[in-house]
Amino acid sequence: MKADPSTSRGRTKAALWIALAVGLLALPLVVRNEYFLRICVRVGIYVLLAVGLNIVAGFAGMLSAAQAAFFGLGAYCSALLSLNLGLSFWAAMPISGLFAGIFGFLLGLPAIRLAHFYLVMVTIAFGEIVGLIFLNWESLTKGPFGLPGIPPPQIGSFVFLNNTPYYYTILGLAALGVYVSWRITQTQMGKLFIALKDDQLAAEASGIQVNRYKITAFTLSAIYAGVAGSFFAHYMTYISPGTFSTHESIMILAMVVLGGMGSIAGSVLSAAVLTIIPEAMRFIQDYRMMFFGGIIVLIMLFKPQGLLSRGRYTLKRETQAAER
Amino acid sequence: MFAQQIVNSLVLGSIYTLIALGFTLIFGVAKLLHMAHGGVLLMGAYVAMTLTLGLGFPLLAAAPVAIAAAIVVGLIVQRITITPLRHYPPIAILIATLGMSFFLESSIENTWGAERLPFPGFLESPALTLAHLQVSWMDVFILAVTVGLIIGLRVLVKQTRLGKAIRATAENPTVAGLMGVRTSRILTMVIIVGSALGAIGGIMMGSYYGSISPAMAMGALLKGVTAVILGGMGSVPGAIVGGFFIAFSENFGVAYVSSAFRDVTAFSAMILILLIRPAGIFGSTVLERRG
Amino acid sequence: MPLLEIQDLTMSFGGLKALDRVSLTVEEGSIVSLIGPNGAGKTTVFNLLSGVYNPAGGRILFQDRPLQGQKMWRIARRGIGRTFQNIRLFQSLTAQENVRISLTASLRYSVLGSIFLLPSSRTAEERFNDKALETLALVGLEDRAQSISASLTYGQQRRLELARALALEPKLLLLDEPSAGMPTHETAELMETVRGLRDQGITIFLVEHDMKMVMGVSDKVIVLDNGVKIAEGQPQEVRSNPGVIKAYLGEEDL
Repeated sequence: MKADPSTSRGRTKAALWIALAVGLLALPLVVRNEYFLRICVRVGIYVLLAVGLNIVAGFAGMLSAAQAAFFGLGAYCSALLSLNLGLSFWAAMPISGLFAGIFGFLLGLPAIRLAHFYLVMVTIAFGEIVGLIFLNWESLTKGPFGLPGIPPPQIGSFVFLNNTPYYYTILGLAALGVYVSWRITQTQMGKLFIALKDDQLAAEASGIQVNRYKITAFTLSAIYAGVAGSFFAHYMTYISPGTFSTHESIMILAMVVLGGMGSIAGSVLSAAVLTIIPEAMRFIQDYRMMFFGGIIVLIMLFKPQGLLSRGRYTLKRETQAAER
Repeated sequence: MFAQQIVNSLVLGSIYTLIALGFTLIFGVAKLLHMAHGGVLLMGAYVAMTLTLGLGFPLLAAAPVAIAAAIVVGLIVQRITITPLRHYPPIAILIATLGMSFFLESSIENTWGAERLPFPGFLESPALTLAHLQVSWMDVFILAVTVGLIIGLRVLVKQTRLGKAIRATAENPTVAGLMGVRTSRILTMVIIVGSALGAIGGIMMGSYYGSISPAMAMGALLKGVTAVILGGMGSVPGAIVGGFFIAFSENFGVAYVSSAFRDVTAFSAMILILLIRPAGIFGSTVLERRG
Repeated sequence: MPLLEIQDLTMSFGGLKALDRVSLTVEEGSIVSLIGPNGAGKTTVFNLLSGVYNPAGGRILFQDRPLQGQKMWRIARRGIGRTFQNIRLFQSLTAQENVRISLTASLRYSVLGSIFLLPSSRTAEERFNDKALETLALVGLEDRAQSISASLTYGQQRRLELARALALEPKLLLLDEPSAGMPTHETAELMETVRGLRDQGITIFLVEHDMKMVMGVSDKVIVLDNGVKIAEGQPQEVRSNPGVIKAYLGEEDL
């Protein structure tokens, strides 16, 4: 991803990055279609969710099917802070991110000791319990009726009314999320994640406190989802438990898998693709789930590494199956 | 009241046990994370429903057809998602079957609708009525069938050649292969038996609750898996203990605590067991990630 | 006081006793080889030493302090490095990155700092890289630093695994069949490397099948058979021990 201006290839790369940035920034000014911008905002939300999940599922190799639960925790936290305590979105968002992060930490504590399958089941169980709490703790969450009237964000006296300010906000959040994720891959921690995904035993034998890093991955992923949830709550101005289901978690997982587990660009791309396609092909709407399910199966069959695999991070055909 | 809860728990436990048995069999042999098992058995239940309520067949005639349908679906799932991916790390099959379960569940939704649909009961006349206790012939039937299947399964596993081959493959597929066992055929057999057991459980679950819905696929999977985790993956007595434990804790939780807690009980139990003793009550393998 | 002392070490798997009251010592600055027929329990000893399992019975003392029951990473940080029988590298990482992993404990490192590119973290990353390169140079792999470890030759991978263990700055190195799969000319190099490491003050404990290497490099040889120690002593003594010869009947090495 680096662009070294001293080479012509580097210059081309840098130019592409600048073009992309300009394009994204200018988008709402050029395309004034509210429907289109709405899709873009949705893409931004899913990018944040997928890139976050990629940290725990792609980098560190732990399949978590709880991302929607953290999404919901962030959403409800932010909504309740605003509705009951009058906090603005800008104050509620970081708190909600941390709130979700705490739950990520708590889920991580037991989950990391488990082998793949149990890990997934525990995350699903966690997600279901969280969903049930949203549904049943009516005094707090108003249960199935949901929470309406969540105040939109405000800067001074400027209230977010149409999609444009939301677009820029989620663009900033998603860009930050992608940047942090990328920085992780460039640093020791990113390498540690890969190491413990590749061979946990060897990592421990090299002095790594494996559990500490695994929990960190869970926590980070949850923070991303919590931030996304907070944004979502103040964007939709209404949330209800049904949105934050295991189904949703699996769809986000599908995005990460499809894009190539461990590839940030892949997560971004597939989040965009899998959000836009159902919108673009309205007739698919009813078959959305089938579509996702089918896509997951097809990808695993034909390109298990996902669309944008970078060999370093992805699934490998086992040549030494006997030793494992 | 208490006695009624016991009866209800026994019946529900039988249902969960059947689902868990199918699951534990598949896992024990294939060491496979078959996330689509719930979808497979639900297919069976829906086929049964269509045959009985849609086409007017009696449940007893529809059941074998439904079971066969479940078996077919199970085999298709195996051919598509399990067999081609067996050389990849288990995550691949996990994800693929997860996608498959998604696909199955939504095909059910698209074919039959997302709402709860009525499911035929059978033998609803009471067998026994004592003060506040009511036991219907259906309850008796479910219990009897379950016991029969458990015994049958035990005979199969302990005393037939097939059973021995299954156990050998479960312990060490490489050695079993060297000793002449056709491991791929064993896997197929196990999927057949597992899907059949699951379908029977699914049909009974439908009759017991009087309705089915697509969401039951995930629910059945989770309950079944929880039972198996509690009892120990790959262990037949474990599946039985697990299935009944969940049923009992659910029923008594609902009766004496709150109905919202029906599912929370099962899931919390799962998380607890995974924290305390991941291998389950009868499990022997070390399941923690050791690289 | 010996660097490593094992007292009555016992281990069972299922019902099978893999080790039965094995006792041995490894003196500081020595090279000790652990030999025995296949299945004798040699790798089990290593696994117990490095913390992969907890022993069923017995004590392990490293620098006179108990070791059994401690977590693997703690044991590694106490100064015990190891290589594995079947090479366990981080396949997706480069050679340099593989070695960097072992440096995590020794070099101060701030996660948040490095994410947000604080200057202190930049130097931390540089230090990681420099130290890793130095260690790679010790095994002659510095020019392959940027190669993905999976792409290295077998011999290079073995050396990389050694480098990764060395990056822990261990006082005791556990080498599990370091010469496995190596052609004879490389074995001689390996023997030189092992002696060189000992001369730098690292105590070496090896599991080996290659008798030439065992005889050529060891100060002491310990023989296991069926989980029990059957002989211990200088290489020449052990070689002519009738019990040892009997244990190896059927094996082609001796």
